[in-house]
Amino acid sequence: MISVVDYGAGNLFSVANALQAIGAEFRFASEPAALRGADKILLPGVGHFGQMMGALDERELREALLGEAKEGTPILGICLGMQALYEWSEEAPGVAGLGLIAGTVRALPSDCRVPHMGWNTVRFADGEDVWCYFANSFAAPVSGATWGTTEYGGAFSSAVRKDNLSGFQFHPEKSGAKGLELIARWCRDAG
Amino acid sequence: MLAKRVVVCLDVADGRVVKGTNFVNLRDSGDPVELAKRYGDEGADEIVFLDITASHENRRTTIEMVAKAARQVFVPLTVGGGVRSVQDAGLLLRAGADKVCANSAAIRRSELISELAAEFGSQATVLAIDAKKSEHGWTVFLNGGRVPTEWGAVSWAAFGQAAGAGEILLTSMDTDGVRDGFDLDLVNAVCAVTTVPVIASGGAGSAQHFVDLFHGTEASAGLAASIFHERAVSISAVKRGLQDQNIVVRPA
Repeated sequence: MISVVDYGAGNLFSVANALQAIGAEFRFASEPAALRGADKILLPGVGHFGQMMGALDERELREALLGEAKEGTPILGICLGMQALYEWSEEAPGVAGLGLIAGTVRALPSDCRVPHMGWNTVRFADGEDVWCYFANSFAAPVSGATWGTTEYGGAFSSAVRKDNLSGFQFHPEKSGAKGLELIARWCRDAG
Repeated sequence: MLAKRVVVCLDVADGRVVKGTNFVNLRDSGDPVELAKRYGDEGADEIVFLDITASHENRRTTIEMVAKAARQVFVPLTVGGGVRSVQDAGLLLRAGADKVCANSAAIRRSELISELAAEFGSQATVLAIDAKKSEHGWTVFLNGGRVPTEWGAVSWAAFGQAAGAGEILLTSMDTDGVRDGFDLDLVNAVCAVTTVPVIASGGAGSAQHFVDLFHGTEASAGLAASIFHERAVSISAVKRGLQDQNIVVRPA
């Protein structure tokens, strides 16, 4: 059973539609108790980093997520949900992220049209290129946690993986059959 | 590299696609969800639903259509027509839309753009502009092109971006339906004052017109409706045409 964190994120139902399409069992979790003992946790997100962290705090979900992360529960962050795994973001200076992955999420270069909107390739560590749909103005730098990279005015981490944590900067739930396959793979393999 | 997008638009009234659809093999040729699914399978990079009636009575139908489409179509969905408030937009986004378009309502009350951007983020806030050539540039029209405004398209686009729009959906009323190519001058004029992605709309009649658009302007996407509905050209043919000219697209 996957717990999908419900703190009012805009893409919550798109993520749920994708899970339904691949036949994964899930429930929404809007309070700490609903996260305890989850087999897997999916953290969706679109919008503003500061608002998202505020919404998690309001529902006391930050501590619950950190607790589950420490327990080794597989967690997948999507888009802003991936950015939330980091320590900081330039989008909301001074607002702490979950801090599960070291580093600061940066603004995309200003010489590019931003938001970075549309389909771009993700080059995964195994050499596979996958076309995925993006809608982001901020992105995580390439680091030790990088699992996939994408080029837009330089390379950024479009997929990350560290122990029980995974993150996609793109929207797998909107990236066609390949995107659904990436979610299915996480459901199957993580943990 | 970020691909140039080929976007399909479905004009919807009372839950049905209007404007010449000619899918001979589809029994229910005017069902927006079936069409969206088909276009998604055929390689459309994004699907735009425009509720052209946009009356309050039809909101429920539109929301149900979006919810149904979102359960079956796993490419981005943009919905416009009748978005007058944060509440209107919220219902569409929660139903499964990825982005909402504001058009006439944003002209009547420009705070709408910043309200949408603050609530849902710029990446979900699209400003749709209907523009027609005039003596000094292009004039913005509202109510589906029936009423001229005081705004010029270039200054309105710049204003919209500053207010928080994350994308501009730019329709040329002069080229719309003519199938003689996009209005490259209009697209260039708007791209010159914006740094957000611009979707060009109006005038696509062939794959070559998409090539001309992406060679001649900085547009991020080209949108078409009737040529795809009538099967004048397929999405894959457009994408092959673009690839042949070394324009990066997501293969159909």
